[in-house]
Amino acid sequence: MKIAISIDKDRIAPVFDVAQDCICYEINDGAVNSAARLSIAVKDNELAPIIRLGEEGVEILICGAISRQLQVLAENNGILVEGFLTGQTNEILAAYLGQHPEKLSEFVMPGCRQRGFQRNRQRRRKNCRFWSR
Amino acid sequence: MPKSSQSKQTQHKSSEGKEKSERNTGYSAELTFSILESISDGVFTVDQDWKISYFNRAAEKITGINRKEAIGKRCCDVFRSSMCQVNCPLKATLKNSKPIINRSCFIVRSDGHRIPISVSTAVLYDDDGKIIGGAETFRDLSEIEALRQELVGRFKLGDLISRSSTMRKVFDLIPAIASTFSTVLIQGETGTGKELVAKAIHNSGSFAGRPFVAINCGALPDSLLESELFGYKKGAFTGAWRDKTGLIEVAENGTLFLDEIGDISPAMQVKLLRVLQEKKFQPLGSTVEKSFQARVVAATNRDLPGMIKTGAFREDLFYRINVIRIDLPPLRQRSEDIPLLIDNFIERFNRFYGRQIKGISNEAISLLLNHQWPGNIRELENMIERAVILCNGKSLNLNCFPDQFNESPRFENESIKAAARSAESTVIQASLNRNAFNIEKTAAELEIHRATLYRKMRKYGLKKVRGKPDK
Repeated sequence: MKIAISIDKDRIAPVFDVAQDCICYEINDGAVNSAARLSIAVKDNELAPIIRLGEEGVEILICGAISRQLQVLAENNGILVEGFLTGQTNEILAAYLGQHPEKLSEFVMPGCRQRGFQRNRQRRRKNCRFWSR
Repeated sequence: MPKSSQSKQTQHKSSEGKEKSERNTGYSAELTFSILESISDGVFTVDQDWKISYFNRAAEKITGINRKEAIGKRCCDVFRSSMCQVNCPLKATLKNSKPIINRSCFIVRSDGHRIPISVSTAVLYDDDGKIIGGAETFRDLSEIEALRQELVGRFKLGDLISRSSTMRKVFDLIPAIASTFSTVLIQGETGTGKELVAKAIHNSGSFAGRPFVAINCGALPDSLLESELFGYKKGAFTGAWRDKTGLIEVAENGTLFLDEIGDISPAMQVKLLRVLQEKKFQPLGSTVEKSFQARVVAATNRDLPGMIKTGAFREDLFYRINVIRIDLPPLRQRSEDIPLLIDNFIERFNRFYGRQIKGISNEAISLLLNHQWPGNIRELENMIERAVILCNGKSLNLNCFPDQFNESPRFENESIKAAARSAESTVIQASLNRNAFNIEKTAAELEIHRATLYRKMRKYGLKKVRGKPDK
C-alpha cells in the first residue's frame, strides 16, 4: 500500500492545494518499506497533484488543509484523504502506522477537531485492519 | 530573585510600558482593543516564533476558528492560506520591515471551502523600537467574488445551466479538468447532459478551437465503428474505394468524445484499450502505425463497475478511462434547476419558432416539478418545445402539456379536503423550489404572510432538502 504525505521541509505542508512535494511511502505489514520524494505541483493546473498521486497508485493521502474540490477528486480517484493534519512528518506517520488512530487527534489543525478527525475516524479504523495484512 | 518580587517588577514594568505606549499613541489599550474587535477585517498578530498572540472577532468569523484555539498555535496552521508555504507576506515584511498591502490569495476553512481574501501586513515594534512580531489583516472577498461570478454567468458554463449544489461541484471541476490532458469518464442517466459537459471541458481549456469529435459507440455495429474510428485504406475491404480518415485522426490535438462506451463489444474494447495505452493506431488495411494525440472523454449511462463484475466490460479499459470521473445527477435530484431550464428552453424555442411566449403558469410549473423525468433534461426540453409550438396563449399553462402528463392519480378516491391539502402542499413546494427556499420571496409569490408560510410548511412537512443552494 502507498501512503503519500504532502511536505514542507520536515513538516506537513499547511495547504495541500498549493503543496510542492509529497513523500510517497510504500507500506508493507504496517512498516515503511521504501520512501520516495514526488514533485506534485504543476503550474496553472490545480488538479495535477491528485492526478499525479493517482498515477503513482497512492491509496492514502495525509495532508494539511485541503479544499473540498480536491478532496472530492481524490476520493473519486480512490484516494482516502486524511486532511487538516499538522506536525512533523515522521511523528504523524508513526502515529498513523502505530494502529492507534486516536493519537492522530493530537495532530489535527486548530478548528478542525470536529470535522476533519471525527469524520474519518471510522474509515481510519477500517484501514488499521487493512495495514496489518 | 523571589517569585513575588519578580512578578511585581514585571507588573510595574508592564504598566510603565503601557503608560509610555498610551502617551505615544494617545489611545488606551482598551480603546485599541475595542476598535480591533469592531472592524470587519480579520486581524491577527504573531510573535517571533510565528505563534499567534492576538486574533480578533472578524478573524474568528472569516476563518471559522475560535480565538481560544488559535492563540499560541503556529499561524500557518490557523490561517492556512495559499501563500503560507512559499510566499508568506508576513515573513517578507518582517525580513524587509516593509508593509505589504492587499495581496490576494485564498484560505482553506475546515469545511474545505476556499475563501478568497486580500492580505496586508505590518511589523510590530515594542516601545523601544525592537521588533516583537508582525500583524496581518485580511479581508473576506467572497461576496465580491460571488458577485463577479454572478456577472459572468454563475449558473452557466458553456451550454450547461444549473443552480444546484451538485452541479455546482461539476462546474467547479470543469475549468480545472480542462487545463489537463487527462481522460475523463462522465457517468449519468440518459439525457443528463453528458455531451454538454464534454463540450464544456473541451471549450474551457486550451483545446478550444481544435476539433471536438463525438461518436456514439452504441449506435454502430463493430465493423462500422472500427472503420469510423480508425479509418481505412483504399481496397481494405469491399466498398473501400478510397482512403478514409478515422475520427481518431480527425480529433488530433482536440477532444474525442466516445458516447455510450459501455455498449461496445469486448473485441472493440481490446482495440480501444490498445489505442489509449499505446497512443498509437493503425487504419484498416494499412501497415503504418499512426500516433494518437487527443484527449478522450468517454460517457456512459451504464454501471461500468457492475459490468466488470459480470465480465461485460474490461477492467483494464475501465481504469484507463476512469482517470477523472464526473457523475451527473438525474433531473429529479436537482428539481431546483427545472424553472431555470424551462425559462432557458422557452427563450430558445421562442427564437427558433418565432413565438413570443412570456413564461409559464405556476400550475404548469408545479406539474413539471412533480414529474419524475426519466428522460431527464432531454425529456423536459422536448416537452417545452412541444408546448411552445402548441400553446396559443401568452404563457404556457396546463393545457399546453399532454393529457397523460397532466393526469394526477393522487387525487383519485380522495375527499375534497384531502385533494385541497395535496394541491396546496404541491403549490407551496413548487414555489419554495422555485425560490430556492427563500421564505420572503416564496411568501410574496404565494401572496401569503411569512408566518402563514412557516405554519403551512410545518403542517405539510416541507423542509429544505440537503444539498440545495441557500439562495
